[in-house]
Amino acid sequence: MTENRCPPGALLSAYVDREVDPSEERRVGLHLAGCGGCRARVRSLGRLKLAMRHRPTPSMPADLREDLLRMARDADARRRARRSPWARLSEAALELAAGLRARPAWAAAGAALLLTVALAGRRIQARPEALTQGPEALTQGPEALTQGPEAVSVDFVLAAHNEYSRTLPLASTEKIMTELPVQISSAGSEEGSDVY
Amino acid sequence: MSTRLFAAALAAVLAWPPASAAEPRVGAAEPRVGAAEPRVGAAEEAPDASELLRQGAVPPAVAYAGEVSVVTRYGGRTRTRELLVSFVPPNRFRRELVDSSGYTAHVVVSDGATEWIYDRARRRVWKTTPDDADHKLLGPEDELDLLAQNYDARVTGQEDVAGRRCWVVTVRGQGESPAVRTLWIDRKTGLVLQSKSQQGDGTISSTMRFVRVEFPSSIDETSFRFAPPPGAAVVTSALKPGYLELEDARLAAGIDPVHPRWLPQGFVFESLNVLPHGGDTFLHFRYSDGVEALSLFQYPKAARLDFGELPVRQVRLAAGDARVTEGPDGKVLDWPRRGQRVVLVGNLPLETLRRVAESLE
Repeated sequence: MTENRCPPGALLSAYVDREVDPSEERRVGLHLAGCGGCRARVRSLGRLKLAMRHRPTPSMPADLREDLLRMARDADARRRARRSPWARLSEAALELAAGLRARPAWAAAGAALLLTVALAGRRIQARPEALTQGPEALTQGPEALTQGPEAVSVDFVLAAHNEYSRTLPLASTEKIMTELPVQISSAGSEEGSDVY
Repeated sequence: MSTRLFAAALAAVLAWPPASAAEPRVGAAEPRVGAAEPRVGAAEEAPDASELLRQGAVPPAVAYAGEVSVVTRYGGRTRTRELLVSFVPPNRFRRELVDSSGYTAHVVVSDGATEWIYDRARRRVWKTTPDDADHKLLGPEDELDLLAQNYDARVTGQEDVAGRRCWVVTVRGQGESPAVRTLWIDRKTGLVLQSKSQQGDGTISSTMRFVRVEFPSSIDETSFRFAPPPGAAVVTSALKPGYLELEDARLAAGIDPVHPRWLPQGFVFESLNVLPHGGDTFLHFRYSDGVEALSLFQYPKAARLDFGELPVRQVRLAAGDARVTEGPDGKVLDWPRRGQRVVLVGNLPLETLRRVAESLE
């Protein structure tokens, strides 16, 4: 590659990923300094790669989801008949794992679900009063357990909106700056799962 | 009476009432659109309004420090907040949000490369990357052109703010009840020392005003550096501001972006961002008419939106129930759509947001 000739897309992509050797990196860097088109391409690749890192896993097929919900309900019914809450969770987890062995492609989704159940157990442990509210969370299915943690704070969307509003030509930066820090602070949870 | 004396007398009449009396005050009756606006003194030719706006749209070329009062009105409530600000060109700044007792509650510091947001009460720090408007799909010049297409900008007078002589520029939207933005731009530096936003019905939604400003030759560099206090938790942001095309977002998020078939007059799609949240991905569509921003959020799950302390009421959309609240940033309209959560945010009338929402179906 000469410094004047645009590098191929694969090389730019490797450059963005920092997967080129130092001499190649220097040559690409020199080229970028004088080529607006390639700089724009690198910026676009960088944005896209950043976004791809946050690509979610595909949604679960309806039939598998139904199976998992049924198993969770069955396990809960049995527990209510004879077991403590923690024994119920263990049993449900084992049944879920057995179901997932038959569908290895969804092992990751199942693992996430098990993790959610485990986290819910931790929350129940931290808030003993939750136990007195009965086992409705499990009888309603795993999605009931996830709704709490997945609640989206209005401050999250307002902060994102204001981050963008800051860039507009007549934006009142000072006005936005009286709102944004508070929103960013409020959007994060107490448990450290902040997105900012 | 000589011509010169007549001109001076006319200028004095047009300049009445004095600037201090014309400045908005909390609790004062809200002026309405169409009320008498300040006019340029007859003895002096006004500069080009669009050129003044270009000046006001970029940070000034001089350092400044001061004290700012921000008043927002929403849902029958009025809230005042105070900021201590300092800035050194091109992009270093410090802003301290001070509560009513004088306690600095939040600090935002940027050295141009890193931006820090510190919540003193929670002892929590967010480290993030300053936004770079050059990466937007709609560049700064394009946005000023969009503003010029959708708004009529005029120099309507001169007034003093914080002891500085300012040009008053009124930016008025189109239509029967247009939104109006008024800016007081420092004549010497181009810094916007006061701004006022009025809704289409004439009520003031917010005012920002420097109550004190100075332009020192230098500001201590340590003001723009930040070291997290011992014991403070530091969260590194994963949210680098992004500006994606629709197709990029489809690849990035793996979900089909929804896109309204109707937008308010003058609004265009600017870009889309992908926001990680709770292991999933929010799509954030950004629309602009050059002055106002409209955000549409699409979340691939029917998660619930927690409105916190904001008052919420139910409204009816063609596709079902929705919830709406009004805060200092405008209205938030939230509704479930085919197993997903959709949220609109904008400082626009509810009917306008409703029409955007219904055009998704």
